[in-house]
Amino acid sequence: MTRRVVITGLGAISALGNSAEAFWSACQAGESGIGQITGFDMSGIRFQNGAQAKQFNPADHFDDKQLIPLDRFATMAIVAAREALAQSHLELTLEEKTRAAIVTGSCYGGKTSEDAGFSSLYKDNQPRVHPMTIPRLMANAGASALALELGWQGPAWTVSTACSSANHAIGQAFWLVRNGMADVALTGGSEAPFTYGSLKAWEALRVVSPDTCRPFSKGRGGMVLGEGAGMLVLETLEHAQARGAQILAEIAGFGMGADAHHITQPSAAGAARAIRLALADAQCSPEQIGVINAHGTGTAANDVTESAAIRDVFAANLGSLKVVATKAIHGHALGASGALEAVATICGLQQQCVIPTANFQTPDPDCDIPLSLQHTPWPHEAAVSNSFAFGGLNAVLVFRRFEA
Amino acid sequence: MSESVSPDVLDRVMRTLAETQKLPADKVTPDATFEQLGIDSLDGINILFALENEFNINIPDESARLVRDVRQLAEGVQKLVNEKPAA
Repeated sequence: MTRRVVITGLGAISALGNSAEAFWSACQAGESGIGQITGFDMSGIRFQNGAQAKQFNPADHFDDKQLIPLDRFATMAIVAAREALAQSHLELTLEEKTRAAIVTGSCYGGKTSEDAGFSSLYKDNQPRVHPMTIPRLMANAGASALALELGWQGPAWTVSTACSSANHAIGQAFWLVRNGMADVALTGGSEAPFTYGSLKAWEALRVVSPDTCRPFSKGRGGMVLGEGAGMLVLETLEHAQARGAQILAEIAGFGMGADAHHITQPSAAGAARAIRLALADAQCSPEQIGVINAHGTGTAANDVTESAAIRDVFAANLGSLKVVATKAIHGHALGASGALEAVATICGLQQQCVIPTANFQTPDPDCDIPLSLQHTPWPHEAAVSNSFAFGGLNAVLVFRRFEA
Repeated sequence: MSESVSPDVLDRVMRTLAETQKLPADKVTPDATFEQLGIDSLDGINILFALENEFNINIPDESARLVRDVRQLAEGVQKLVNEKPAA
């Protein structure tokens, strides 16, 4: 018999603040965290705005000694995980900790430490870098630090698939728990991409908006980078019920695939295939889906192909679903995006509502989808959350409202 | 936008484009469209990068998006070269 998997804790660090509650509150208000990037000389960069987690200061959450081996992206993963675990009230015995998994996503890993360390070599002719450079920059630093902090000894690893990292991580953690290889899992993603080198690299790719992120809107100018972390506590329904945990939602399906089409141009067929695989995995028909949290980057290419994929898969029920696109709120936090979007999707299921797509201006005939533009009650049984990465790697999750 | 393009700028633009795209130089003519040359959006980014280096200019995203053929590209480059402060 297939084990059902539920979510019992959420955590979020984002441009909207240092908790899932602050994040969800901004989502409901359609409040964008995008603003002037600070911390660098931006005069030589064509874009100026980003969604930096300006309220997040690692020193507020760790002592100096603890911070020595931790990059910013790892500290975000840990703080978001602490919040998710506190909400879940999960207490594990030593035995149970051997069956507790940690699967995190990150596109870059410890880019902040890498950039600072290597520029001191190349630019300032320093003879050495900090001895913790490797532990800080490894993409699994967040997962490893969490295992250390919690004493969890089950399967732990990190997925790096650019903008799909968190969805791939959550999907794998879900399958791990569903298939009996772990009973609980901590999963999500974290990203701290604001370094000068990284900003210059995004500038060169010419996909960043000169002002803000306007998903599916005519005249959209591109994506806007964000940073943060999202974390989820997953456990079997049986495990959650046995300990009387509050169940927030069920994670019902995961689908993934590769476009095998182009390194940066997305493919509608590949996106549609991943959505169908996720629905099949959830044993869910398209008609059961009431909300889609879109990948919705605000780039010319993504939003058109994603609209085509949505119109293809959900042709029969376009009139009874809403598409939400939260990157206008939290920015494109790369390997953390899917996790922040999962938090928004789960909160929407819990409260049976949809939220506004911030910064939207005018409908684009090439993005003919039922976009949600206001915070309004919206009864729905299940929701889909899309992530489509550069490199054509697609990962789609299905969440279901939990009814005891 | 129809900037009068100097023969030198046009020649360097065509040469840079051919080198970046690994195309035989005689394929790249002033009237060739990007579509004819098989240039997609990713190729376009690489060409802009090469041109920025060749001419020591910064090409804004907005103007680059509208360019469809070699002549328009050369005109855009010429405009930015003209706007450069004299060394």
